[in-house]
Amino acid sequence: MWALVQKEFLSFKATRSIWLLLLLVPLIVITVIHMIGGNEDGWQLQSMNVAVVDERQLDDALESFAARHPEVDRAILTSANSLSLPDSLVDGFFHTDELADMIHVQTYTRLNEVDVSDYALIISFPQDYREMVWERVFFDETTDARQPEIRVNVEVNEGATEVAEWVEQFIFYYQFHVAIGEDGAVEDYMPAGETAEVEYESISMFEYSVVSFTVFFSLYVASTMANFAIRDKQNLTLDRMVVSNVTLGSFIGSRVWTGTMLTLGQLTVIFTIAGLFFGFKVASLPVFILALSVFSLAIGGLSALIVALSLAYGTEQSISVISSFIFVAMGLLGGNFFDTAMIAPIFAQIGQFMPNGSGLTVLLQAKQGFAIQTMASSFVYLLLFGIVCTLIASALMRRKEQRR
Amino acid sequence: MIEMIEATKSYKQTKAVKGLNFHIEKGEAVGLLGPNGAGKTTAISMLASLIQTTTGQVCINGVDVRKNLKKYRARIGVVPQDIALFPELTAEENLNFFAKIHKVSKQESKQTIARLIQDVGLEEKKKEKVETFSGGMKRRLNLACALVHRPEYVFLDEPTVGVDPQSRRHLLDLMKTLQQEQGMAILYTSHYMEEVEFICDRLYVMDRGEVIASGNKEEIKQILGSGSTYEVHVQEGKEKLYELLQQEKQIKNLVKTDDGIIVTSNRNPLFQDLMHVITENHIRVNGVLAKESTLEDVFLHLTGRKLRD
Repeated sequence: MWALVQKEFLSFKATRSIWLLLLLVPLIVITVIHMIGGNEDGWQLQSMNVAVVDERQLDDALESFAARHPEVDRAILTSANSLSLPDSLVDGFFHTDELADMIHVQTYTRLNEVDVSDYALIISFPQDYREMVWERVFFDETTDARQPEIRVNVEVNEGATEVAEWVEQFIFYYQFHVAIGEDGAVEDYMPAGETAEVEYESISMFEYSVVSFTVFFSLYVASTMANFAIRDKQNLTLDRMVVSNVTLGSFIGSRVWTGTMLTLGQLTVIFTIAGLFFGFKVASLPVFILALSVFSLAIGGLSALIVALSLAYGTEQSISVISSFIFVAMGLLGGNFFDTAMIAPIFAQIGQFMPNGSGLTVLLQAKQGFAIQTMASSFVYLLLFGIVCTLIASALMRRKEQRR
Repeated sequence: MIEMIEATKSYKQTKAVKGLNFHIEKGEAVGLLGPNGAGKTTAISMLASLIQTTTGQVCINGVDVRKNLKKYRARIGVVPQDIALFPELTAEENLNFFAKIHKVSKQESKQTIARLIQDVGLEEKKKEKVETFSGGMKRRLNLACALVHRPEYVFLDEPTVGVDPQSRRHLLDLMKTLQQEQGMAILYTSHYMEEVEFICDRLYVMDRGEVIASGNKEEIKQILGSGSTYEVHVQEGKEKLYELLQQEKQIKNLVKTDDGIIVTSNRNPLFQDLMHVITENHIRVNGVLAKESTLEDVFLHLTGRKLRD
């Protein structure tokens, strides 16, 4: 089997277009995102008025939540204060050194009280927004609450669009933290009945993009390997291998390992370059390497499955369909291009069943310094995904061998 | 000895091979002759254990090969009709790979590969990618890859198709050497009679999935007997003679040459009938020469088709 793995690596080494797809393209994407982020420095923020409309104030929300959930300890509810997005936005985000002097925030409880001609930006939170977030954090329940709305008035201030994007990013990270941090938060809060802080490093849009795009491009390891397998079938080298005592089982096994090692290599190179040139950092290197390895194994399994499907039913055209449509759909659902939860939570939930979605979550958690126990379920899921894919691939190959 | 016993291979409604019986003794060179679609490649694929027989079996020393496929595969080498190489790898890397999957020891493979590269005349190209090779060079490497584990039996499926005369000669000499000096048994299929005559001791003639004749070269040629092919050198009336002979039922084949016609008959003796047509119709000829039968003639006689049809 190792001879097959070694040969695959030689083939990969000798085919430049593969390196272009697996390394160069994601690195170019990351560089472009970094450059776009860097351009923001050139824009000068002018003094700006911002209205934040919070239809239900914190105290009302706390009362309402406590009434509905009497089992929740008061101390826990107090801690909910720190989990309120409207308050975090007003007291945290707009109070940062960079923005506090330039942005003047006014809060309202009704949208119709706001004179739109006075404000460059109007951010309004629906009445049930706070409670929706708490439900999610404390009870792991998802409701269909409306999302915050941001209205931009560039006639009042030309920098409104720029600041709106920052606010969007802030909301995005906030919701992202809530989504991926929920397991840890619930476990830490509920049994003890007292407050506990879950600390992890914040993540920038650029860092999110580095991880998400790298994860997305690792899917192409699988399609590239399938292309190689189709070529082996077409030029009869596969037959020659079979006559040379290579069982289709060891052929599939070699694809699992090749896919795993290739993905691991690809991810390591991209993250190392991102670290060296763009300041990409991880909280715990061992945990991050573990997450990389587990995710790579899942892609190794996926590679074997796509190879087996290609050999059993596929042509080069079918591989193109997988690469062009299925992987892009997986990328969308898995949150590799943006947080799909912002469109519909169900998409994000489906995305978590995909190796790229689950892999993205686990790598972001590892990057932020989450405890391994928190990530354990994702690790197990990714490993199971890889194993199930390999088993299906082996079954397909066995069927093919019997048909000969 | 490898035997094929009553082997058939069916694909849905089509029978590619029907009740094939043949054997290859250790160290002998056997030819498998037949036109396109005769079932030669299917027969080789069954022998190579790439496809299973629908009925019948392939045995090695009397034991069905399926009982120990791994051991059987270690004893055979297959040179497919198409170039089955990794184009992005070098010649040496291709050979190394096939040596490794055959579990040839490092030391042995190093020596074998060096010798094979020399034998197939690729010393100067061994570090170059196969995709840069000419057709002839690829064919030579295609053969070398089948020999890297020193098999006892080698099955060659038209290994010289599209090869330049120089490479062809090189390949034929190599195969002859392997068979005679190293005792490698060879099963050789080809369209080229002269190749088969040069390499093989024994022949099987196949057509439409069946063996229609077998024996050594002389035995096969004897099927036609003597005096069945004549070369008529015509001074005047070549076209007329051609037309007249076309009407003769016993004439199997007519081939026009620059100064005459080659006549093949399926009835012996032909000479009297031929001379009768010439004298009756006042055709002026320079001479009528009896031609020795070739395997091509035999094939034509047996199947009514040319080998390269």
